[in-house]
Amino acid sequence: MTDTSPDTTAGAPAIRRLSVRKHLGFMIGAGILGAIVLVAVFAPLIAPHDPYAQELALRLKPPFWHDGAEPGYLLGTDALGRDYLSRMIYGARISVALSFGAILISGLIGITLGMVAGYFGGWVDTAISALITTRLSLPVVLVALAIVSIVGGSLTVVLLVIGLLLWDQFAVVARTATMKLRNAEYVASAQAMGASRFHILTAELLPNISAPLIVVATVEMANAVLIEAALSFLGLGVQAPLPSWGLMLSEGKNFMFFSPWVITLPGLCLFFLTLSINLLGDGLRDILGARR
Amino acid sequence: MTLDTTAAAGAITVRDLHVRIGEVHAVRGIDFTLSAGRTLALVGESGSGKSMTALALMGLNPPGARVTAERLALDDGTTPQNARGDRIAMIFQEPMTALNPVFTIGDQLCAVYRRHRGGSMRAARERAVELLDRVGVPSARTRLGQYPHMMSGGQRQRVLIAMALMCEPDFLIADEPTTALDVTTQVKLLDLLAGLRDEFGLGMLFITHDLGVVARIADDVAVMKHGEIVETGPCARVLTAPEHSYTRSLIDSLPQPVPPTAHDGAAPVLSAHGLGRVYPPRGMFGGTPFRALTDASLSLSKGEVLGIVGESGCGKSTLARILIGLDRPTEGRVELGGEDMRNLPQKLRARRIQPVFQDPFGSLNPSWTIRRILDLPLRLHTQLDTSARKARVLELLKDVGLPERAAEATPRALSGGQRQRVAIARALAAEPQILICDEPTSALDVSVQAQVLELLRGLIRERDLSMVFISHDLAVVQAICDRVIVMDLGRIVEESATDRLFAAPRHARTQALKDAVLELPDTGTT
Amino acid sequence: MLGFLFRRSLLALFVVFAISVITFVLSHVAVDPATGIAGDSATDADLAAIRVQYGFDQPLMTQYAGYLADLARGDLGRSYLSGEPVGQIIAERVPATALLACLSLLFALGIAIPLGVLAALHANSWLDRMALTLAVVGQAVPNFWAGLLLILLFGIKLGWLPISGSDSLAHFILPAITLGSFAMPALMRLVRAGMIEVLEADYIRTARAMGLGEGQILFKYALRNAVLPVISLTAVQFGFMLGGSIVVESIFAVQGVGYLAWQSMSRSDMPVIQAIVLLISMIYILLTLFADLANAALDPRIRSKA
Repeated sequence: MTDTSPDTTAGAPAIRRLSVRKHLGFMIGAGILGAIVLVAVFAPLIAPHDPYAQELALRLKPPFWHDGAEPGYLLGTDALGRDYLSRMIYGARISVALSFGAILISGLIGITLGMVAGYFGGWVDTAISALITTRLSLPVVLVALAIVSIVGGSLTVVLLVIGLLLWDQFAVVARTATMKLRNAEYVASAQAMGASRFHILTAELLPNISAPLIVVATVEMANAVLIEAALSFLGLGVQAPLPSWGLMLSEGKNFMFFSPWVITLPGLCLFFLTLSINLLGDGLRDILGARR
Repeated sequence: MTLDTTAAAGAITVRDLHVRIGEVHAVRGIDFTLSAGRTLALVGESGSGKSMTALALMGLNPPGARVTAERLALDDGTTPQNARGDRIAMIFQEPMTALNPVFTIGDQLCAVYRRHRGGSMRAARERAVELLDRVGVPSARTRLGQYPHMMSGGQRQRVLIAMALMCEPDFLIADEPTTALDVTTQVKLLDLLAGLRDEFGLGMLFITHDLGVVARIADDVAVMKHGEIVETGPCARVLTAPEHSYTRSLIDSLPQPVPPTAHDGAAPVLSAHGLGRVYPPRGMFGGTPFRALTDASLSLSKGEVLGIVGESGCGKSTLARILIGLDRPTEGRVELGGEDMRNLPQKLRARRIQPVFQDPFGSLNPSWTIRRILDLPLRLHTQLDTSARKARVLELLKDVGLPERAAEATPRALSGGQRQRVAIARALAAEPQILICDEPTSALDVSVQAQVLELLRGLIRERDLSMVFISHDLAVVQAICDRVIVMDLGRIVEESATDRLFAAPRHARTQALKDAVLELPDTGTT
Repeated sequence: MLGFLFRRSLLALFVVFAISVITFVLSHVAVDPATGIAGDSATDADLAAIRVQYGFDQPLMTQYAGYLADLARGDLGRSYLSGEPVGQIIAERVPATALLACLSLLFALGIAIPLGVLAALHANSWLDRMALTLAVVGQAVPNFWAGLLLILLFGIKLGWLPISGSDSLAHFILPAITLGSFAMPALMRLVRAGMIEVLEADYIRTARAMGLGEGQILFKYALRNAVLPVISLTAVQFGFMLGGSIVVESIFAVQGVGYLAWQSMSRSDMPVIQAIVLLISMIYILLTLFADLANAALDPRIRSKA
């Protein structure tokens, strides 16, 4: 009397799990991001020069494909005669460390708030929802700038400020997903079995809402990169002489009419980093079957 | 095998129809003829290809499906795609989502009429009112201005039937149109459809999984399995003297009444006294509190199976949640072996009473393996060490008739029936005395349902379990329960031994439920 | 409907209150307002005098109550630098930012809606792939970099458009494109995803089964449902654009609120900064409130809830 028929029962969710290797966007994104992370980790080994060493005689030398390029300075130099390639390599460290650090903070805050709101409902949900709405109403860049202008710019401050601001989407998504699953019968079974709330939240619910949260994490990572760059670009983020890509754009914009590479190159770095994170996120969305 | 081609006024002829979706050959060369004024039922279990056939007949295949046929046309050679909404119409299973939520009923009905017949809005509205009246939607004229979400499922299905009939089609294709509805609504709709067929001389193709529905409405029946028609013929003949073994097994799988056992006198293991549940109004202001349950009392003896029946919204699921301890009553109390459940710690309660739910897809955590799912209750409620728990998991699987290798699978890899077995094993792991089963077989195919019922009966006998069995289906209740409680509008309206309840129903609701049981013609073979 | 309106307004009111606390903390607690008013060269005695004069020696709750009372009267304080009323300073800058934001939104929606619908109708075609690529690339370009590149190309190389200031409508073209292209991808993807989802809905199948025309199904039955979430996102994106205007305005020297915010930050002019944060948050709250009301007006299900 065992029924071992294959799963043909009505409503069986036909989950098309795309193979990771077949997803072109995901592979490209993972490839670029992997390369950037490697460059960031091994920056001291790769960089041909000290990124802070100024050689005033060699100011604004163009990259190798232009006339007048300086041998040994592959991508030229900036207005203070610092090797541009080395600065860009060290810049990867700032963007990578900052984006990972920021989403760790914001993910922890947002997922906790969202799951608690979604699971308990009632006045807890009302209060947390109001908090989320308040956060959404604040213009991120403006508030971040204001805080940095008061506290003073440094990598740690920028990381903390961004981490404390970008939790809203984590909370929104975790809340909705938790609400959807809160009444699932496997949750009711665990409750009826006498399992603790902590067990239900972390073991029953969290693994099942992780797919959309991973996608949110990639979106917010890209956001963190862009916000740091914007803050540094406006002069209220990471402070000189640190080689942040946004700061390099800011320093370069006065020279861009005659030496356009000083802005195109760091911009391209930012673009490829954000692009790779977005591609990775879109790929994960398809592969994990997550819908936002 | 083909049906008699009654050369009536019109017919849709289907010859050698194939539907392929990717690698899956869903429909494998079937033939049938749909004649005016007659109902052909296409019956089969899930995955048999019956819905694909219906969609192919309308030219509504899902993207990626390839349809081929030697012939698929009306008598004059018109293809169904060109006759859609005009000469052939279709109604679907899910009335809740089948109407556009942002347009009024009137707009949607009139759009169909004016698309095919043109004319003024006024003429279309008159036609809509006339048909809504005919299909039994009360105060039809005011309904035109209403939106779908303001109506019940049964009402929406009636609106869809009216929409299908706007242009007086010759053929109506109905894909499980009553499956999502309450049983009493189902009979009313079946009778309505039969009446409309006779009145308009409709040729009706009726897709269903339910042999009772077939007996009620069909003239001819075609039984489908794995994309093929295995048996076809007049309804009365196929249901009473099936020729194919599959048809016979479907009929044999229908739940059969078993004589109830009386358990009078024994001390109750579970009892409820004057339970009530009032939900506070939603939102911060206004609204009225909702009363889901009123003065419900019951008792369950050792070894007894108590059925609770009623239609959706009657309060039976609220009662179940309170008995399991997932919800608290606002009035009354539950006693477990004479102790007030409120004074019982959560874990002690869990050791005595465990639930089995309806949805085999929602009741198991999709991220976990079966081993981990069954291990949780053992970890919470026993002192067994890891290896002992491992062995116990395999024993549990054996008890519910699953192979050992199921332990390493995730729920996704199992069929609906297998998942329900896992859910039963999980409930048994803490060795409770009482099982609360909320519609445990409603989502299953009839042959799987028979197996799960058999399993439950066996477990009750072997382990001397007591069980509360909640269902909307009186036939299933008859097959397993000793005593039955009938609920209506949050109250218990009748209670008696199962056989007596069916022989002499006292309450009008019981009578209505009994009348809604769709029986096969008496065969004397089972 | 009234209950919905009431609850929604109550939430908005709470958020306004919470934001006012945040801006109060920014301007009165995180920095010493006395130093701001007196300037860096002030002696301790000057500072003490100012604290008494402005009430900064009072308990924080009293100061906050005064702050709220001033806000209610429309008094946003005075700039530390010029001494002019902040309300007046900002009011002068609002038209430029409003024009920039509206043009950007027009640009974003003008591309997002047609492209999103077309991509959904031809899912997985080359057009769809192109639209998705555009969205992915658009989302990855830092908008200040895009602004600089546009300046290089259209302003310097081609010399077609002015690159700095806000004197004529032409001055707004490059900033609007920069800002709009930042909001476009999300909107486009939502239109596309919404349209695809709606086209798979049961009621669209019903409409097909009833033989309705494809045009009627797409542009009446489907689009009406698909546009509902787009309204909310448009409001949200408009809010983001106001916030993002600080970057774009500073690049193109558009004399708007964002440029003012940046100038004030480099000079630590706290009264102006907190007022701008307050203003943009208020506008965001109003916009999302309007979007919710618009959704309620278009979706009978929301209308009849409570």
